[in-house]
Amino acid sequence: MWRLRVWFRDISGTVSYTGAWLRSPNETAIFAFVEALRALSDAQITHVDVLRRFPYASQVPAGRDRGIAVLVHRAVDSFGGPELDAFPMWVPESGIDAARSLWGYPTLVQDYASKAGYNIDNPTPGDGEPVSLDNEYPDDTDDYYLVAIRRNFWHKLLRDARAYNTLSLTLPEVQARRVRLDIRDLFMGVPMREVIERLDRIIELLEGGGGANTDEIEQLLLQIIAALGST
Amino acid sequence: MALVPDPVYTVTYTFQDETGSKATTQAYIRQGIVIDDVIARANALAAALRNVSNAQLTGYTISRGWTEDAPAGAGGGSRVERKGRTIWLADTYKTRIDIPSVATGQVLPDGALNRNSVQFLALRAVLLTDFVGDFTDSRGVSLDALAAAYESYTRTTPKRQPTRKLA
Repeated sequence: MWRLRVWFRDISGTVSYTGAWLRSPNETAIFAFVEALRALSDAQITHVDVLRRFPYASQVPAGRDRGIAVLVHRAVDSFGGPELDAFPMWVPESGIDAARSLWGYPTLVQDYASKAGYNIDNPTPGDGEPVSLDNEYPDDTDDYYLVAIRRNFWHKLLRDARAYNTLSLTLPEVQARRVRLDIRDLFMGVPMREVIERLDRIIELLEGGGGANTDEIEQLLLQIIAALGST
Repeated sequence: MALVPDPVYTVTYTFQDETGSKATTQAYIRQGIVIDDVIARANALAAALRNVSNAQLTGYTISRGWTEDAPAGAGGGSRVERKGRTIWLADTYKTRIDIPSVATGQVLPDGALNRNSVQFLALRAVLLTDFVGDFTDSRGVSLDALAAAYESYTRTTPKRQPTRKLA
């Protein structure tokens, strides 16, 4: 069954929702239900969602330290068009070789999109070489970028990112903002080449800045670069 | 004032490794295709993900959302803790649908909701007659009758309280 939720906010800003069960996500029925509720309530309706969970029969889990593979796909408005968005996908307990073939399985490759609704451009292996930091940095001709992060390193990266955020508070505002943006991009899964180039620029910025604890920041950033390069 | 659909269906896959730790990953499928095709694509990607991960893929959730582009604003004195509680029957089993901050004009002096108001009859028609078979209880049995409708109150969780708590 599909679970329909209608979200309300009252005059104080307090949020609540009400739910109903649906046999299918029939948009006409959903909108009629929402309009009926709108007439009965004096709170404002902010959004509506409908969801359903599907159980899946899979293999018994085998492993806990293969790491996390991150695939970052180009997303375009029309196939073959310019890149407008990126779609990072995290695959737990997977490595480069396995994750590289993700789109090689006979999936119905069309209709997958980035979060903003742009099409994933030709997500088929062989059309553009999938690359990782194992061999080379990606370039503009690649359909997708592939990065593998070991589990232990991922925890370390999270810890270090928190440290960067804290340290960035000691910097002048412009530099601090730069550091925070790059840390965010690390999590968003932008192409690693760009991330590393930005990290290089951060070091340059920090070296030119005054009054900041640059030694410690530089050491932490170099650790990230070294760890990324070793995956 | 209209509900604007999100550009994509969101598919959230859940994994579990041999230690019992859980993880999720998300994929997106564009709007504009029928729901059976969305399910087929989500299932196909599940098979691919299962094959590239050592963890167990325990399931996935498909969700779709709409956002009000110009909310009308909440009425003065509205409080979502004040519910209009409606109980519906589905083949003798009961299921509940609450109306947050039910309009005071819908509540009779004895605390019952006015079941004969135009607004309440509209809700009743949507659930029982206009879309027969669409609205069900959690087992998938169609709603077939109204059992009760009254005003009730409930508490608000801290997560849903407003961010501004001081006057």
